[in-house]
Amino acid sequence: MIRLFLFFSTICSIAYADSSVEAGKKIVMNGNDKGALACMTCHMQNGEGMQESGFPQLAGLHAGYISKQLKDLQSKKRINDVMNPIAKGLTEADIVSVAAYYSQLPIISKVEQSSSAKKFLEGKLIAERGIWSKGVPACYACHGPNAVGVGEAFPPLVNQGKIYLTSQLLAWKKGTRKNDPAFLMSTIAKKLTKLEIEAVSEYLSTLTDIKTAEVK
Amino acid sequence: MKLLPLHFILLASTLALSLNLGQAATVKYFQPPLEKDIPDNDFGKLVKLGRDVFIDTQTHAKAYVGNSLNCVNCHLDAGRLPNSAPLWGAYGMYPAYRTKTKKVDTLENRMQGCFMYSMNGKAPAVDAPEMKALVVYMYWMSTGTPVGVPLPGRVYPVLKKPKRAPNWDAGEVVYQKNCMICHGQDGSGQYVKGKTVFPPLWGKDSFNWGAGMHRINTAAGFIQANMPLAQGGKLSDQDAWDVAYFINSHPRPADPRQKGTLEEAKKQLHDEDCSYGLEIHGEKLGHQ
Repeated sequence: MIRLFLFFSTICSIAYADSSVEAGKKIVMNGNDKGALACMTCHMQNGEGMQESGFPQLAGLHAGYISKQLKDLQSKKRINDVMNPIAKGLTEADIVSVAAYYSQLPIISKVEQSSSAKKFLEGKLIAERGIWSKGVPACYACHGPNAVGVGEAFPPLVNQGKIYLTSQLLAWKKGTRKNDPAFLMSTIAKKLTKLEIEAVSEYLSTLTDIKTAEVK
Repeated sequence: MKLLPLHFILLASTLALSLNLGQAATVKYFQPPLEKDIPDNDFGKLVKLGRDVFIDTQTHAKAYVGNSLNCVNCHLDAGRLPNSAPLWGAYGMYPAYRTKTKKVDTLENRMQGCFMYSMNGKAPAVDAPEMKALVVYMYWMSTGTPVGVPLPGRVYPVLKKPKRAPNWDAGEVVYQKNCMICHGQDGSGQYVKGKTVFPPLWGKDSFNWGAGMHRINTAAGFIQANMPLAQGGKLSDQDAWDVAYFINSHPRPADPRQKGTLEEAKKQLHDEDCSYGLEIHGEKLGHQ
């Protein structure tokens, strides 16, 4: 009996997820009639974003992370002139659907070139070790090895562009982005200089790695 | 002062961190050599191996590890960070008589203890390649430190006794607000591709009941100075005591020193600030 129940509840949740993905796809492609533009205009239908313009990759991000960001863009805990009005046009159900759609897409590998060996090495040191003399831990301490992302709260930094990563670290530093749990990211970004931010963003943009199933 | 090597004085005085411990406003800490200064020779190779064992113990000393932890989980910044039991603070303090073992322990003996208890594994032999690499890494990091002199920041800070006895409910609130996002609701940590990112704090993959960190006072000192990561000093002393009590009142692997019953082991080995052998929230603690 329990098995039968589990079987049906699995079917139902798959069906629900499918319909959510379908609804999300419609918004991604066409937007809605409440002021939300089609997400694909900047993030593309396959979710790869546009690195050269600073639009982040959304493919394969955790659905909970995407939902949280959209809600925080609505409430302006995350300030972004382009996204704030678009997010305002999304309903709660739209947000769930868009998040479901983008989260199930395969991550697309993105690799950028480093501009200088010096910057690369400085960035590598910050990513792998941090700058503990001023209380900055390694990026990998929370975002995982190669910054492939950990769980719902710590997004992947790999396969994002240098422009996007730099803009976000500067936003944390300035306080225009303040939607981090327990002030984890803002505390760290405020301790980084602009040059360190550029170096670590550049280093991370040269990596490619894809998170696979989590195994203990 | 003349007895101290000159570069130690210079280095130590260049780094002044203020601690939020309500004590001295400014404490000067020893500054270990930088990783980029590891020499490019056979000695340097062993230093790097020791560093790798320390940071990724799961990969480089697998035979001696029985849980999901890495040395660096309790000794932050690859063993360099003051108030996080840095390697440079321990190197010059051994050999030493220890009440835990009731004998004089060498540095290698001390690290064997880390593997048996904190890593819930097996002690590497004193001359095992992994042990040799760790000793070389410690030696290199301690370049310029005096022998037998307790340096500032060498252990976890000792917190004053809390005003109110630590309790589970208060600790759970602190845990949920500050720790859960990384270490998980059930304390089991988070992993990516089989690598530990956020270490398990209790349960089968964490340190066992013989590890120093199972003592509530020890954990409280570590937490207050270092947690949440990079926000040391954020929690009040009372919060640190409460959450340390909460974390250390959950089940974890058995104390490998236990010979007879749990009650006997409690009497012989656990006359300290810990929850071993107690029944808390329906769990008799100390069993696996």
